[in-house]
Amino acid sequence: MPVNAEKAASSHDAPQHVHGVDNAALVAALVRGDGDAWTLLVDRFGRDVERLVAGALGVDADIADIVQDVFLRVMERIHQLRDPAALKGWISSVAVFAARGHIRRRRRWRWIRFLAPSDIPDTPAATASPESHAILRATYNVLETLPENERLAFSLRFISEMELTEVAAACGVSLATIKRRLSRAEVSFLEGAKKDPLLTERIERGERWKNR
Amino acid sequence: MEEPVTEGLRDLMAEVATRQKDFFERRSSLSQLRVRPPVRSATRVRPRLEGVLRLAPAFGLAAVALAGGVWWVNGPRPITFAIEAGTGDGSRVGAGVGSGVEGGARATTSGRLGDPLSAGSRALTLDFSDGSTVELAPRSAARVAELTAAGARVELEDGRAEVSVKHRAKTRWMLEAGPFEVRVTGTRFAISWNRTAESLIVAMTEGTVEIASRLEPEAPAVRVTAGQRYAASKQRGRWTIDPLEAHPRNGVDVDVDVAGGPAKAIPAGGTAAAAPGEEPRASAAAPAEAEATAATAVAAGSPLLGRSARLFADGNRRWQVLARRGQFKEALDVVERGAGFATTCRQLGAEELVQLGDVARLAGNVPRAEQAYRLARKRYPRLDRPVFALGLVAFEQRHDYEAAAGWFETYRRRYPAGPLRDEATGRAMESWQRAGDRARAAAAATEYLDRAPTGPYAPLARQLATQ
Repeated sequence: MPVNAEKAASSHDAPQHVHGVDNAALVAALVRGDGDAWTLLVDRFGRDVERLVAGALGVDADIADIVQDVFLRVMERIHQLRDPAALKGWISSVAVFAARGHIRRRRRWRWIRFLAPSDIPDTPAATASPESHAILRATYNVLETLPENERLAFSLRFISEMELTEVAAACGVSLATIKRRLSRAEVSFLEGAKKDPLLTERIERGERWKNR
Repeated sequence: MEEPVTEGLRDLMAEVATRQKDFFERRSSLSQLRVRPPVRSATRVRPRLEGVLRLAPAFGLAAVALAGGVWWVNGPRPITFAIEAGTGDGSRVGAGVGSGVEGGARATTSGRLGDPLSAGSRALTLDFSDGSTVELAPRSAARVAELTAAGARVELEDGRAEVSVKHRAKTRWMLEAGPFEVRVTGTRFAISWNRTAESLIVAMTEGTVEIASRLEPEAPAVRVTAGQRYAASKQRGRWTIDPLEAHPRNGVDVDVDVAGGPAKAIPAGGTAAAAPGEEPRASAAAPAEAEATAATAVAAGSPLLGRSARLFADGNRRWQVLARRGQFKEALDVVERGAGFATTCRQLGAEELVQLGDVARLAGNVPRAEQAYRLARKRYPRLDRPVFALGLVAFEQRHDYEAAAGWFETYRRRYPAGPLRDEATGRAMESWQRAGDRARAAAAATEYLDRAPTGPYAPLARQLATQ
């Protein structure tokens, strides 16, 4: 890759070295339009973006498009990034923005399908077991009923398995706000899950262990 | 309190996270994305509606013109192929004949559309630029009839071929043999066509193909999946699907014989007789197997793409679609009212048979779930999922914890490197505990903590290990 790490702007945060290139050098290469920078960007942050978007949206046929859109937005706005050390958090916030937009669009357009969420067909997944499908679908059916900010906080924290501080940064709110949203989301989710035997059985099993 | 305090919710979310990760790791689009940056116009993300509708016709025309131009300049090119043939073994490639060089040398030439290809005393390999290969067995003949950007159409004129088709986004491959068409999207299989007897055999190693016949163009194609062997005879007007394991070698080395009675399609005695004492409920398999055998008597030897075939082909698609939507009861109903549960079980390959068991289990039909799992276990003894699933049924639906523990212990013993090994240990631990066997529960707990100290069963394991 024609990116010289030594020429990169100095970063006050711990640089992430992958293939010998830190984030500051990567940002500089992206701004210059170096050919290999794109590959490195996707290699370094692709998994995180995919995990975040998939966690936020569940089984959704548009996930690949949204991940692609996130990277397009990153490329289009990379020159606006002031602090290369904040690259990861910034990309996460772009991903959250894209996921939130998709949730809104989906909710806005649901009426036109005349279908309940559980009836919306998803893409074939030959390798996924029906059980996985059932649990994921039941979980996201409940999440679908939550307000979008609570839903995002909850899914990023517990399905995408992000740290609290990462969730707060990605959503662009304070830690206290995220904690409040998580608290409300937990109550709402448990309430919604009571209507689904598959979820209820699993939650009760966990409770039995705790109480034993 | 900011973090969820509900232990059950935490466990559920851990499970959802694992399943979600597994689900999307298999469908990750990153390998395609990293190759080159996409352009904004290439994304399918929906534009905002406001303001766009008024300009939609103009945008539409411009987009069509642009797409047409791009395609014209830089449209997809058909794939190509090379032929690797033994020299001096009598192979014929196009008009030429092997050069007569002795000693088993191999020569590679560019393949041409429509050229007759025939293997001599050794195999002849067609290497396609999309990564697919067709290996013609000795004394077999074929020709490449069509090449497109998405794949190829190969006519097997006589003999046998090993086919490996590389799966891509829009793969469209077809093998033709006499009146039969084998449609492929990405798979490995062996195909044999006897021109004189007008008989076809397809033995599936991986993936799925659809087989249609020009004799009945209106009839739906028949799906054949990994682990199955399809045999059809034009002269006898019959076809069968049965497990590949029931046939010697790769399943295509023998001539087609689909004229016999039902027993012809049934592997005598199965291939997976369990060791004594291994099954917690060994006798329960017998009625299910007997029913399946009786049902096969109806299915095997059906008229070529006749009623049974149509029912199976139609139903096989519909129940899977419904299952993917989580409509398990409806999916099971489609199977029952279509070709019938036992018949469908007999005709499915390993993966789909377990899937049908899952559908029955999630629909709450315990006998049907056990029937499918037991049959899968008998026919595909190396498959680990049926054993685990039988444990799930015993635990979650029959609440027979001793039987459940037996199945999970069987899993641990028979599949020590299986993907569900830790899960089975955790489940065995919980089953023994509920069955009141503290010693075995503690033993399983200790092993679980050794192998998966942060796994979902770790909290319970810690409690049991210290009791």
